[in-house]
Amino acid sequence: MTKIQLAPRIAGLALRALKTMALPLLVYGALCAIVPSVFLRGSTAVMMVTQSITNVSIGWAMVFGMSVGLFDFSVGALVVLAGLFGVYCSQLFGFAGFLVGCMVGSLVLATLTGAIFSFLRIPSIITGFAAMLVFESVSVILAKKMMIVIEPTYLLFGRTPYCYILIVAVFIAVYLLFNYTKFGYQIKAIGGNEAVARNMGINTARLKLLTYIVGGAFLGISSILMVSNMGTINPKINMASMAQVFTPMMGVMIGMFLTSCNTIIGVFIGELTITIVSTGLVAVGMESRLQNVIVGIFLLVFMSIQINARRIGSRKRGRVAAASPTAV
Amino acid sequence: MRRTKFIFACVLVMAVIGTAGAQGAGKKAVPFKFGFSIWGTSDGHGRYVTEATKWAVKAMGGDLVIDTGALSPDAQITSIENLIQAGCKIVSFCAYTGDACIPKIAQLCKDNGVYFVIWDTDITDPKVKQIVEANPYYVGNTNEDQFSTGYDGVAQLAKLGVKNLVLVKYGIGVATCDDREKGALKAAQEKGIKIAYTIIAPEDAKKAMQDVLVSHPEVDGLFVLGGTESYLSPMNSAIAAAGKSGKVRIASIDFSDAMKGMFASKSLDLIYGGHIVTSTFAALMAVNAYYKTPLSAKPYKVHIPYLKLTSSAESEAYYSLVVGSVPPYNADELKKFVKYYNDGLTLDSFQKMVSQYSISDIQARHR
Amino acid sequence: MKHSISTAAAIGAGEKSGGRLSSSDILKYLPLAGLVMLVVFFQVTSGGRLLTAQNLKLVFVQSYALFLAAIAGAFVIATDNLDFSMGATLGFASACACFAAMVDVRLALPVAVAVGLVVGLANGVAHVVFRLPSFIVCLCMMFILTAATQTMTKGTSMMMPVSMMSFDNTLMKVAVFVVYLAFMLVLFEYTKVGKHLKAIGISPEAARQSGVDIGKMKIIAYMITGAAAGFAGFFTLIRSGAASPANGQTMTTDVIIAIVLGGMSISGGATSKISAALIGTLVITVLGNGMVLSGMGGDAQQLIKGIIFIAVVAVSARGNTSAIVK
Repeated sequence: MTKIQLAPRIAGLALRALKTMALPLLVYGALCAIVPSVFLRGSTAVMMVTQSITNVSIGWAMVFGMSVGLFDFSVGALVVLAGLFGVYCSQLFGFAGFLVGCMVGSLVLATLTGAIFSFLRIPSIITGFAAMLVFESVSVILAKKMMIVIEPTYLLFGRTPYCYILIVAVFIAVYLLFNYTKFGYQIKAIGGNEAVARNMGINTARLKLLTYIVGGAFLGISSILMVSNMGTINPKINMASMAQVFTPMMGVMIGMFLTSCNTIIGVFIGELTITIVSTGLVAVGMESRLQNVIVGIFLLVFMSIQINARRIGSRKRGRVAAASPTAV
Repeated sequence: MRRTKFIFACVLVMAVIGTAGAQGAGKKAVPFKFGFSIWGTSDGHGRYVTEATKWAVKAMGGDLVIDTGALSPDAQITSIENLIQAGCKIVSFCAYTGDACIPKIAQLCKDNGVYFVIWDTDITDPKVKQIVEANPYYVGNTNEDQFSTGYDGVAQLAKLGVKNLVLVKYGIGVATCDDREKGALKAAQEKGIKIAYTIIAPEDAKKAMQDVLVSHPEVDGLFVLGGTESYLSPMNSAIAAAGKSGKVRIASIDFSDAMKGMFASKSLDLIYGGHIVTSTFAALMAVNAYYKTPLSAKPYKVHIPYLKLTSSAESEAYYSLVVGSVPPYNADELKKFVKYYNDGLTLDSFQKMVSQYSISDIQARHR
Repeated sequence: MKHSISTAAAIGAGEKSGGRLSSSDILKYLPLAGLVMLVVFFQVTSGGRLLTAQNLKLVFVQSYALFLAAIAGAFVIATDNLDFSMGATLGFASACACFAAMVDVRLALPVAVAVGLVVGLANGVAHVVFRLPSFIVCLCMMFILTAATQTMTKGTSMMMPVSMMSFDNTLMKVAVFVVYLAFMLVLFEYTKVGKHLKAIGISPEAARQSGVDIGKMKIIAYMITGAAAGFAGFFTLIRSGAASPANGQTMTTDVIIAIVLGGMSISGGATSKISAALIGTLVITVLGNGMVLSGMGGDAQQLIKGIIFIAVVAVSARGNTSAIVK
């Protein structure tokens, strides 16, 4: 390829990257103008990316299920219980025990939830509530029998660059799984139209169970990241763990609605944007209790624009087509 | 014969004196059902105050009925209703959700002849206080001196050179937290410390602290006003990640499992807590009333001291002496707080014994 | 989350032979049987305390707000949607009612219902007109209303005027409940509103083709649940004597759990019924009440609730022959 042919290609890629990053860049840019002393620093930008890592990992784990219409509110409780199990294992088997404990715990719990959904044919929301009630209670019982603070030397993945290495590995795995495997194609087929997917021969029940299991594997990594970040893990009760699911879910919703990029990248964009918004609110001195409100309004406005812009666009295309000489 | 009679009389007199001196040790326990209503036992404080109530009720020969989930005024009332319905003649609760539902609870208890006591909090609304204190079944409350502790914490941080402080609250409008904050703000004003930011009930404590450190790089102090278990460790992580360990001085109210490690690494300067006995003594106040030997004709407040720890050795002592396998007070020691067993007990002597609560006191009693 | 017509037909048809109960009949009465079993169990374990007149009255007053909310919640769930803002609406409405009562106690109820109606309208319009996913709309509304309630009550609980304590009258509550239930039953089962909402739950496309104004119906459904949440907010206020941001926190999930425990499908459709809300609410309340009476309070409570929930749903979901479960 000659230089002349290469240049437009590179320009095209750069433009695409810019479009993809438009949302967080726009928000960050606005904050640079409002609070330059905080946001005109490279370290702040790096901190935003680091802060969004745990929620991104949870979002990526949830994207498989949410793509096929499953809403699982037990994810927060699952991550906490798997984390507690990991901490417990670390007290017996050291760092390896922590990693294996989180992964195995998460896989077992996710498989259990998926099995309840799949074999008992209970809607995912209900399965999620039931699983959440049970996981939260078990967390409380487990937490009573152990120290919930992990040995500081095991907090490797709470530090840079190890958390980056881990999240990049997760990204590659999720991206490939979602976009280049049969599993990924089938998920998208079901997400498009489940009845048609079934008629095409896709075993939708088996696939949905698989989304729980695959999601569970990635939630194990989320558990590792969460405990490594906080140094401890606190059980929640009375469905308080549901609040932990909202931010990753919002990120997934943004990711699913962004048209400028792949869903997996979109989830990262969504989580990063929410992180930037909430940090910005602290920087401008907004009271803690109002932060959720602003994030919620931001989400509403964003989705409103996305959805209605698409609708206007398709109407416009329809009018243009109708006006064309070949229109019927 | 005369000598035998004299010896017999001496023995009889000594037996009578000995019986009185034994503080009613031979008295039979009076059974009762004790209802304990709490927000939950998933957090350390909830877990330990529930355990602490068990010590008192078990020592008195009572049956403990626990109900968790009192997280809203409505749920608090439901909890008390259920405990009363379960046959409890004494109920104890913390007005976690605020004062406003207490008049309704007071009415419930009065209608059913059930004594009630409040632990770990004060009634701050004067209208509510007036209604509740007029209720013959209201025994009183226990509370720590939140204002002074908040004040002392900031004063200690001032001595360590803190000039720009971050406060962390675990809720809005929670009286305990608000009183601690008031004390902290007063001390900050007097010592010339600026409150850089107040973090309220963060979902992601590490992120919240990082955001503050980025927005306010001048911060050199952190004072967690409660809910420590969820906040202390992640916030310490955030400080370490920013390379400011040792530069940001940390104090906290309410203990956390993380404190041992943090003292060892010198990242924690001071922590107040260990006041789990607040529910023990509240239970004993109510038992006195139930046994018809109240310590006061009117509702009264008992002050509970905080334990103040500044080293990992002290935190080790706390874990072994207070929340270890042996409770800090055994059954005989707890009976001294009940007039039925201790005839000479008064409100003043009750308060005096409570005020002695400390690590050294437990060590002396259980050497 | 679509509910296929074949499921409705399968459940509705059943097979009756020789006067014996068919499996679909058994499934239909399972939630009620479950409630009866629960009552019997706790009556035994509580030493007879459950079925005393005083305790039954207690169960009624403890379930009251959830009754009101769950009955209305059936309207939105019938359309295969959920209203996550119900709990926050309850808390906000009770705070508004408390403030209104300080001006004149007679304003408390109308203000609470009006606030709920407006919130429901906002939810419906955002979902229908702006085409936002209902989940996102209701979630964001929940955040906004919670913050608003915290601001109004300064984060703590706010005592209602003492004169309102006399409103907390069981006889009055029974009368109101009977009228409310009758009204909602008629609306849900015998009017176009109910029929159209169920039709939307079965198949929005089919409903649209049949001439149902889907947008208008959805807005009406959200307004009904909003108004009911406001109504429940008023009764929560007079029961607890306090408005608080904590009031109604678990209401949304309680409504969903109650409706499912009562045997109604979460996907809505033809099998939606108000009785599910009643039975499910009683199951939840009897569970909580019975466990304390039997000395099973504490950590085990939530675990037992979760296991019973799975068991009940597992058994009643066996009738779900739908090919699509979401």
